[in-house]
Amino acid sequence: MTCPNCNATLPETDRFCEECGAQLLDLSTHSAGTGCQCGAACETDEDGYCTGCGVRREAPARDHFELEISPRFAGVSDRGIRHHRNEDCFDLLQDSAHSFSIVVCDGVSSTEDPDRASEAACGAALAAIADGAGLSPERRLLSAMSAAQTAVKKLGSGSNNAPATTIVCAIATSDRVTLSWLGDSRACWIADSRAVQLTTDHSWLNEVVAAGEFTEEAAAQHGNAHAITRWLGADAPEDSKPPVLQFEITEPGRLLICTDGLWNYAPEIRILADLVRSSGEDALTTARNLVRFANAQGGHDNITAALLFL
Amino acid sequence: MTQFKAEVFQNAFLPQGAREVNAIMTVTVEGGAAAATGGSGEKLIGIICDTSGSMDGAKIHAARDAMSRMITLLPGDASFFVIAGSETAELVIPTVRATPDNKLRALSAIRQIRAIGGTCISYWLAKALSQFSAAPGAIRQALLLTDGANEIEDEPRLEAMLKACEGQFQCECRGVGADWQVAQLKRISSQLLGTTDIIARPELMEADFRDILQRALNKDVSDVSLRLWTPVGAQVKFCKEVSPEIVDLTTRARPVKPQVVDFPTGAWGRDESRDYHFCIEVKAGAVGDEMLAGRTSLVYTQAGIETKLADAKILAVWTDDESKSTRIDRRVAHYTGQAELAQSIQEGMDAQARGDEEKATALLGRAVKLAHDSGNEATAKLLRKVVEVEDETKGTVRLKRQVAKEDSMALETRSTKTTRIPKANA
Repeated sequence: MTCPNCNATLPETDRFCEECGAQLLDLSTHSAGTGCQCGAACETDEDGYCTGCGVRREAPARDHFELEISPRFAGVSDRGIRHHRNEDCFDLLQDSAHSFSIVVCDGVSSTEDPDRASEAACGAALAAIADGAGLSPERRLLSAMSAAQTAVKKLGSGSNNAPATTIVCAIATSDRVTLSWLGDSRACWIADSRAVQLTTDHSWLNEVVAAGEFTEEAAAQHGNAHAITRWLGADAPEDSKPPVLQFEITEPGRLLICTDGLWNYAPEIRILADLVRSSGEDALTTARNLVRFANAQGGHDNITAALLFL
Repeated sequence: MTQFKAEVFQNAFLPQGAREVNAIMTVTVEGGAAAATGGSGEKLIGIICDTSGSMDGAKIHAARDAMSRMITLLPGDASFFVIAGSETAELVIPTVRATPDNKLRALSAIRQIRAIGGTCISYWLAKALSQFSAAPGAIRQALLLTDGANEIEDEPRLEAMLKACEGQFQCECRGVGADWQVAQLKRISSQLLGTTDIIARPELMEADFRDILQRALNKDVSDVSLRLWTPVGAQVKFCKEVSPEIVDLTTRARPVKPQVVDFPTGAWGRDESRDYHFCIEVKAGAVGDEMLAGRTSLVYTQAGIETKLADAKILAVWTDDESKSTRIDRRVAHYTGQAELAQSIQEGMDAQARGDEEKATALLGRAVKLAHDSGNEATAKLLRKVVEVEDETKGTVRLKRQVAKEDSMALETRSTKTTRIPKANA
């Protein structure tokens, strides 16, 4: 196959052109279904469904959305290829020249309404951060986490399958990043000379490896490897406060916050760091590239990447 | 801001080839409904009292007292009328404002009501209809009080009259004593979007009347329809109100245009909330397809102008992921259980009436278990009056030898009352 954009020769199975990054496959129609068969006889309603047979014709807005505050502060969330809807959510806030906030949430697929959980958590957390202007970043993050927990809890009504979501909240200034999180969505610092994962996943894998019960290799093979041990939701373990971490910025670099739909394809931070560094000086372009990368690898999960260039 | 809110709960995921889509829709009025709709706020309360010969004695005394009390309680901006029903219907008080003067006149007229004659409910309703049709924009609520069965000859007339009254006014039915027929009153109240209940003892009448009046006065908007759009080729297997009470609305569907039907829901009051269960059969889609299986909206019509109050979507998504498609939404499961509970009681009572003790024991036992499991304590309590419960978790029961007729009628009339899904331990 040749890329319609740059004429590069590509393997038949590729979904994106490795050379120019052009999308080779229209994701909005990629769901495996046959879709609406009515043809032009029917109209499409305001939500994208056929007014005749009811089958969806247009992708919902949440399937792929992008936010760009400035060329150095942006993010992208995408349904991916295999999932039917996007259960990730994120939001960005810049409340002064040197104060940036990011919230990224990944609804837990095995629960009821994970898409609503991530949306509610994201909205509540960012609102709490905005309300806390003037307070210390730690205080703002703790009230954000608590507001997000309240919002998600409200969705569930005691079911043992209550809506749940992961969350990463970050507040960054020019010399410091303060983070709080629950679950396995990650924050990473990528500078020219080094790349570090700032968060530690609340995952079964990490817990059993830390406890010495499994080696990392054995744990990774286990069916529970991806199970998370902490989250937001009505049935969240109420053991302790969410962790809060401070990271001093000593060099220019890029703060990446992402869901496992991205990092599953790059478990080693080196891969992500290379992708980020080679994407240039624009945050939105970088986020798009990361999403494109995950989709090219199979897009098995929803993908969200938010970037702040400092 | 006050408004109607509609929310759908379902597991939209279906396995390959599946066609049946189930969803529970919760409709809530937040704050006063009138503010949301600009309804007229007028209220017309019609009191229809059985004055047939069987009401003579304590019953008619209690009925007179209860009616007097109700009229005294009416706010000055409401209107009312009173009908005395026997084999004919007498308009004791034609529609008037509830001014102090009019109330006094009504109280004195009510004191003159005597119990004599037969029971032809169709005439009572016809008289009420003539009063209600003169107040089209108002909340139109009737209360029908009777102690006996409608006369056989009146049945065909009643059937036709119910059709004529449908959508014209709402009617609460109350049976006094134990000589009335549950099925008969239920048919009237359900077609006229009200409830039926038993007033076992005359002295309880007043409290119940007050309650009915309170609820009627709380209504802010009348003539709300539940509109359902479905895809071409889909079939609505059923549409039921499932909370606060089970009312099957399926056969009440009025076609609006192709693919669209309206179900009447009557008047809505402040902070009211109801749940509906939709079961829609659609054409199976391919794995990966997402279909809008139903679009529901609440529509309010006044002076020919339709206002959409709220809407919600019922979806179907075909997947090969069994962990998604095998999950049953817990609200759907809960109300499916409540419907089975009501049906078990109905069939169990029928079996008992026929003398089929084995079947009655099995069905009422099942009902005891379902009531226990779903936390429907009100129904569980009524069941305990007709069966000895050995183990409510297993549903083992024995039929009681001596059951007061009032108790079995209470169970039959209230069996359709449901509980909301419990907040915890669901």
